[in-house]
Amino acid sequence: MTIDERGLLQLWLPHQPEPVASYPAGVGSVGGLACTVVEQRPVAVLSSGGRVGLVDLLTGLPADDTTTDFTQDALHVAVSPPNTSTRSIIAVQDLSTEGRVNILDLNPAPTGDGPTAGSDGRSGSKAPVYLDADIVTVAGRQVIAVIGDDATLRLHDVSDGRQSGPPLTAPP
Amino acid sequence: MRTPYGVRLRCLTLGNRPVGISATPGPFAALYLDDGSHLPPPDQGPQRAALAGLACDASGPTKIVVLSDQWGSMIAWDLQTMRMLGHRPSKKPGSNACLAVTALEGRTTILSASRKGKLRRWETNLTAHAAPIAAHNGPITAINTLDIDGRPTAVTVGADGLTGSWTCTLACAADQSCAILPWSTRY
Repeated sequence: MTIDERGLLQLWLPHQPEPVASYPAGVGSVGGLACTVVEQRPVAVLSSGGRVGLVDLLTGLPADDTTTDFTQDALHVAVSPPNTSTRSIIAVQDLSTEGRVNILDLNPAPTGDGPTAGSDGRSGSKAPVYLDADIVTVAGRQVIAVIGDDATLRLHDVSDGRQSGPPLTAPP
Repeated sequence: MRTPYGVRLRCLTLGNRPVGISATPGPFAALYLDDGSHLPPPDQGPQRAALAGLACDASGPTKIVVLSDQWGSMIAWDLQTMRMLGHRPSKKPGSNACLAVTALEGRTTILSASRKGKLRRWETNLTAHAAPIAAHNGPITAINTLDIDGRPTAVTVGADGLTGSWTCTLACAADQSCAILPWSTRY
């Protein structure tokens, strides 16, 4: 699945030189693109500006739309795998835009703050800027592992964005 | 100490336990994510420049971590013994800027992509690589691996605007040297 700068969403088979479907997504300046299954229908998840939109890949029609609380563009999106019980979008800004992350349910309203630099809540300490992240299963739960510029790792539950456990200190 | 540049994090499962692997301009560090305990530190290895690529894999016979720096030098470690498997010095900036690791026909295999559009396959000791594939006209900006219909496939994205998928079949000679068969699709 690809999307170009004109907002044309195209579906491809790995060994076929021509797209199998082309849909105008009606957006420009797409930052991130991912795909998943919602209610047994394949959808594309794309970010444009501070919004995240869903496009039904069977019809090419907009399926849903939700917003981040970012003041600048959401540059990347990732989604939970289709076979998980909790289906979330992870929308990410990069270092130049504070390195923040929103976790959004695949319903319109945001459900969690996610691992958000600047909202650490510890009085008197500067919250870390998150530099990289990966998804991993810990004790049967999917979590986002993030590393900050303070050399700590934090784990956030994919389903609600809550931090699980204290920050982990990477070995020196 | 704040480390604002060149920090990467990758996660994998090692012996049924989740492990986070972080890399900075120094050697990599690994910790178990279920209790925060640290894995032993790896062999130091030679001095490196700023971090460029990080890849790791525990699905193949060799549990491996491989790093590259901005000069294209690569270092690989065995994640179980923390011993250095190999070091490939380079003075060609961006020559191995993106890394991936996959298991090909039972062999742990390193793939590197360069800013000149070349895709290379390496043995885990980094002593030799197969003839590079001219994958893109210009820098390769990302590489990842996945199975498509049960076949290990490398996917590359280039600054030329193309996405490539590369079937990772090994053609092994009697001396066990292997090459990727460069069957590909670019779109």
